Amino acid sequence: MNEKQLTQLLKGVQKPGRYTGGELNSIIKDKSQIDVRFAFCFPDTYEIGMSHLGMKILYSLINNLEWAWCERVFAPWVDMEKNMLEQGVGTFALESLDDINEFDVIGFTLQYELCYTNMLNMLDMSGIPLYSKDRHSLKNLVVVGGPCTCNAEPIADFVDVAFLGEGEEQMVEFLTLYRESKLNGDTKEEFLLKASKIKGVYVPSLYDVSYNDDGTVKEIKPNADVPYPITKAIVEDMDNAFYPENFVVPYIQTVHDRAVQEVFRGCIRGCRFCQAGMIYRPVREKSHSTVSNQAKCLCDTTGYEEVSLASLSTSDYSEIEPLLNDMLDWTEKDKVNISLPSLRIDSFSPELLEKISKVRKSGLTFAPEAGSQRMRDVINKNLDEETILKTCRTAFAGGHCSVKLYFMLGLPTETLEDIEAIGQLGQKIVDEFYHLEDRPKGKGVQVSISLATFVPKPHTPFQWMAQDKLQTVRDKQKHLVESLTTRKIRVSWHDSDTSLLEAVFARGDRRLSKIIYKAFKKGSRFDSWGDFFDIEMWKDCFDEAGLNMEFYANRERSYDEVMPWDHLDFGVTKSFLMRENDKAKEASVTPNCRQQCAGCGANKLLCGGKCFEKR
Amino acid sequence: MKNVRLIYKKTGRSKFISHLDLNRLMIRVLKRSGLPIWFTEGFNPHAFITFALPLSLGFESRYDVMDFRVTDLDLSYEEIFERLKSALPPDIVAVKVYEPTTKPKIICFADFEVYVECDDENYNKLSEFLNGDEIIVEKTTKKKEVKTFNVKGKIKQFSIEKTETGAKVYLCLPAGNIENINPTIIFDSAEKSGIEFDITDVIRDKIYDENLNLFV
Repeated sequence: MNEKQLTQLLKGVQKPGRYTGGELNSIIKDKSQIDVRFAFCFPDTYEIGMSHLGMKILYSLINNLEWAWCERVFAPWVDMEKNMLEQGVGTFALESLDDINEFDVIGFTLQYELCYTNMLNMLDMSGIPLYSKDRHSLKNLVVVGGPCTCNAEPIADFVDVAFLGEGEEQMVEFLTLYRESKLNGDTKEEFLLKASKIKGVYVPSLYDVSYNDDGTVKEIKPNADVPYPITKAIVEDMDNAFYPENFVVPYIQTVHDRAVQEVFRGCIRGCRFCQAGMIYRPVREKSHSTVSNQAKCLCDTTGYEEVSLASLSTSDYSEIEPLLNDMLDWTEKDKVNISLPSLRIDSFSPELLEKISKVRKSGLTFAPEAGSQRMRDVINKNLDEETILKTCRTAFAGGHCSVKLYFMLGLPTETLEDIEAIGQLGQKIVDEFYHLEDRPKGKGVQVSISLATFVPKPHTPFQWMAQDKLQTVRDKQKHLVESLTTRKIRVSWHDSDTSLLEAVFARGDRRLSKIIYKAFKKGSRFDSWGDFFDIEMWKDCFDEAGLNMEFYANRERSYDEVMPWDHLDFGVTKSFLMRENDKAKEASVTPNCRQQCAGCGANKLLCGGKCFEKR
Repeated sequence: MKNVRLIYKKTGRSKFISHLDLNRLMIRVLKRSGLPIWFTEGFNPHAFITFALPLSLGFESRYDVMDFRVTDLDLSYEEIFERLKSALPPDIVAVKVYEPTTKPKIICFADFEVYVECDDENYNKLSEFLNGDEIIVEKTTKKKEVKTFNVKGKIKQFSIEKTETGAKVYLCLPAGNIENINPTIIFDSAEKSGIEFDITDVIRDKIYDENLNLFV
């Protein structure tokens, strides 16, 4: 496609800036000089995809190889899709505007389960066969990465390769092998067999799954000479790990329209529902001078006025004070605002508040996750009520008069009292505001409560637990709203229908590939956007295939059951997860990694088996 | 404090950057340039920039104007120009930089070139339409009422010439603080009267004051 055709294509399309490319720092290469062309696809809109840090890291990393060219591809919104179909244009990359079927490797990053149908749609629009078995050549190899690959089984039939773990480690080795194989004239099968030896490279077609009569998995067995289990790849030394010197700066406003500086990977907390807290273990920090230097470099090359310090829980960073001191040296001069997106309630000090609001004041959001102490102990949040109230006092005294709190409904062992406790906690925060002498004058308080539905995820201590049925979740939401007595508390929640489907895919097996295929054929797109989501249509797909959602989502599983992802090793051992699950049932807590090692097993991923957090 | 006027071209894919996004983009350009930009001194300090004449989404421009201020009086305009040039994205090209002596509010007219694709028959129809005594267009007011009026008298100058694939239409229309006529409403009206064509490009060229003197 050329620019003139693009102009034709964009007629009547909302936000044309999503599809035009040409942004600052985007990389254009001469394709005649390139051996491997990589289409980095984000199966959602431009605004969401361009906010994703992993894509920025891999984009720079791959483009640093002179023989490879990585381009960005996003899912067209429905209006654009219509124009593309009418004018016979396939999914295209923003840099060259070439169709993705011209690329050697087509990579998708799977950040959430509900993007699977978008992945199929993007391939289909370019006429690429959806099932891996129907693609015979080495060209158009479909690879996936991102957190969803920790249970890649529901999409196993579509993809050729799933990357487990951190992409910086495997990508260069993988592409180097691909280049060799391509120049060598290897078949796809020959290449896949060689690639499967690279750490963290999972080739689903080289493993067979058998099932029991009751529908559970019987066995997962390699059908070739390949590793078992497949262990995720990790970066050992964060200070020397690749980090981009610049980001592509979007023309249109994206969700996270700022520089993003990674601070550390992993999380010292062991919240039992949290998949990220488990699969990114062990904790590996960058030194504060590396963080500050990289952040300064990014702000200089992009012109962003805000830098976000990203990690799973930035206030747990052991060098947070020296880091902020280092950064304030240049951020005040350059008028750059620092934002700390993942603050824990218990590490929020007046000093920290003062530092982050030096340039501009932003909103405050905390995640107690559960209302009652018992419930917080079950999920191992390690947080008591007095700490929550104290933090709100600090925030109010610092001039804030609204806080947003995240909670989950449907957690294991939850009772109606636990639900009411959410509202009571909100009420106590409201009271705290009015008891405060130095509260912001002339202003009311606003406590926003945002409710998510608990989704049991693989590789977490709750991977065996059942999700609440839809009706139960709705009753609980209603119960909470009815228990409130003040208008100073506002409650909102996520749609629980999508949480059900998320739960199904999160712990699904390979048989779900055909369900996803059916749903895609029936026109399913952008499922994570409430606009188009239709749970009834999905139910029909399950009925037609003789499967049911409850089997995957609402059934408690026993410790003996073979999990569909048992051959994928993310470091934490199954015995650790069982131990944690048992403790959850007794509402007994586990201290964080810094206080005491819980023996999760992730340390064996590191050379020498020594976890950085072990002091 | 030193006032600076930047003249730039907005071409190619950058025509899809909306005015609001352009504002954000320019703030980042100024920041990347490392120039000592003057910030407003209010509660929420931000770089002080003004666009003389906002451009519609999808239009290219050969003469776009942006004013801003720098705090360093000793900085030469050559230096400012070089630094901006290196900080701008590929499709936005710096033309010149100087000290402004006029205010954007004196702008009254702008030149537009509209390129259309059509066959000979429709070319003739379009030519007839533009040369007619009245061109009735619809305009939605701020109160969401649709008003119709004759735009013919508002067109300062116009011409139409044949190209290989259709036509190039030149129009000089009111633009600025007092009155704005978007060239597309004229073509919408032509389309409604049954003339078939495709607009392939709209380029805004020179801008003028009320006496049709070039705005500099």
